[in-house]
Amino acid sequence: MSFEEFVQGCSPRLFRTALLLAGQDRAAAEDLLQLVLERAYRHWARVCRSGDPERYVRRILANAANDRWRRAVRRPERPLDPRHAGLVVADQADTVADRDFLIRALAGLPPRQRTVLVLRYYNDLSEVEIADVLGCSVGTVKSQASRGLARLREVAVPDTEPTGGQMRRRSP
Amino acid sequence: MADLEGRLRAAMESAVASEQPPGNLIELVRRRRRRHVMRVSAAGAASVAVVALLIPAGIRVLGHPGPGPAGGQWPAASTVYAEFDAKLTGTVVPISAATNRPGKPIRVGGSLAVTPDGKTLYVSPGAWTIPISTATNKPGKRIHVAGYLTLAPNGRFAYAAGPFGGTVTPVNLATNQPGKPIRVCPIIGMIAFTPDGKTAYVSCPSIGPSTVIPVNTATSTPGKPIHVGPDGREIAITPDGKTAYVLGVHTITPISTATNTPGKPIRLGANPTALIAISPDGKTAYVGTIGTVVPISTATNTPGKPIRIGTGVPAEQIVFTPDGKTAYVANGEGPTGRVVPISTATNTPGKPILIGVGTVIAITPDGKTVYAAAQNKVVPISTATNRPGPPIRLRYGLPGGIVTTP
Repeated sequence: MSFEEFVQGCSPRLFRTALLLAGQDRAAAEDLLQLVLERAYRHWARVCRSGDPERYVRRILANAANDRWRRAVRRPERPLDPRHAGLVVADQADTVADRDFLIRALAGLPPRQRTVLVLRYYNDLSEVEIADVLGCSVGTVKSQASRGLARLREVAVPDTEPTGGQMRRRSP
Repeated sequence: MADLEGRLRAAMESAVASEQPPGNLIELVRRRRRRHVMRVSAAGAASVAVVALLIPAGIRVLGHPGPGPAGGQWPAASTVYAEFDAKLTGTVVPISAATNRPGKPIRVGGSLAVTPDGKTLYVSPGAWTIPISTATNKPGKRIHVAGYLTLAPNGRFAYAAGPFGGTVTPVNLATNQPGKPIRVCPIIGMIAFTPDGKTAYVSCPSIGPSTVIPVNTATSTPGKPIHVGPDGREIAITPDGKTAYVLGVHTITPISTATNTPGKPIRLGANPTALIAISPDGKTAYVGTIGTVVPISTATNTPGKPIRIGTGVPAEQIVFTPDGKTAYVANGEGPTGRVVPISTATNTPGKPILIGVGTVIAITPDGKTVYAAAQNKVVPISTATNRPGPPIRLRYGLPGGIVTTP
């Protein structure tokens, strides 16, 4: 497979992953993807020899994203739209709002937790595969995923007490 | 209602389902590869832009070298440092310029920069920088600044910046201690110092109109953004320090450093690659395109006749002999990686010197030898004859950069 064929075939999937890893910052995702592809381009023979170029490149992507945002000046978590606080999740519009809320909550997570959740729930990797990608133990993956989900649950899971038969989200 | 994991999965899929990467992604990647241009800051060396550098995205052009040493005697390079991508972490190989024999490899890779006195080589993998004494070739203590070092022309300090983080960090090269970061812009392209080192120009590339921010290096104060064309990234400053040229994806914007105002954008017939370099006499800016190098008169800012370097061959790098009579243009893309000598008096190309995959070049301070690194080798080229010497065989993969020391 040529590098060009690879980019043509795989870049949409990689870009979407990059977008999630970058907290929906399109410019950052584009730059991250370029960076990663450039590295892959440089090591293309090695990437091909791995037998699964996309997996190899996704590994570079996940680690580059981790490194990048770990090094970056710590940004405050993005505030969630107060209009969404107390929102009832009942109809289609609310489902959309719920997803939007979750995505923004995801963007506010520490990079490693975000990366683990993206690899787990967007790329459908197993915990073992994620550990392999990130070069850490399965235990670390589990704990990062658990912490990330707990954080999301804190801000995004409906209160247990129904409000007029519907569920209410906590304020962030 | 679905559980949190299910909702998160659905949210992620829905959030990015219709997103597409930029249509010109391959070109952007190639351009990025080419634009990792660094400069050898060897004292008095009139070699100019050098070296594709690929590991993380940090980009910089160092200030233009000052005039040559009194008496016009240029020192010969004592050591050539070539960086290769071996084992992902990279390897720097020192090569004696006297014997063309490689020394013991240094297991670190990244962007290279040499102090003007040639005493220290800085290698920046991206998350930190490692100083290496060129006397012993032993790595020193890590400098914990992210990004890459751009050395000031006087070699006393450097600015470190990666593409993200929004800041540049001054580093005192006497102590290797970083100072307080200076906030400039969200995404940083390159840094270039004026020859007097008083101002650093920092490019802030964007898909739309970009800006360049002048930073007063004495006070670490950023100035008002200067607007340039789309994706303005590479910066080259004339030796007199009067004009900074910013290369964008379509245009070149000259900036008067006296007023920090942009001039009329210069358009070429073709889109430029990521190469811009100023000749040692400051009269010509050379801009790379696919297949040509276009000379631009810095007096009139008008492009001249393109100099052909080969069909479909992107000009990636250019170095000048100290006397400015010859420019060597390198292209490292594809198996026909080559070096093309150009007579700057007539702007005519000489016969291409075929090197190999990933060709990057550096010239010795005395201007007698161009060292071209390619996959698993370094080739010395005599500038007197433009003939390659016997290749120095190495087994470290593709080169990322090459520099020479006095």
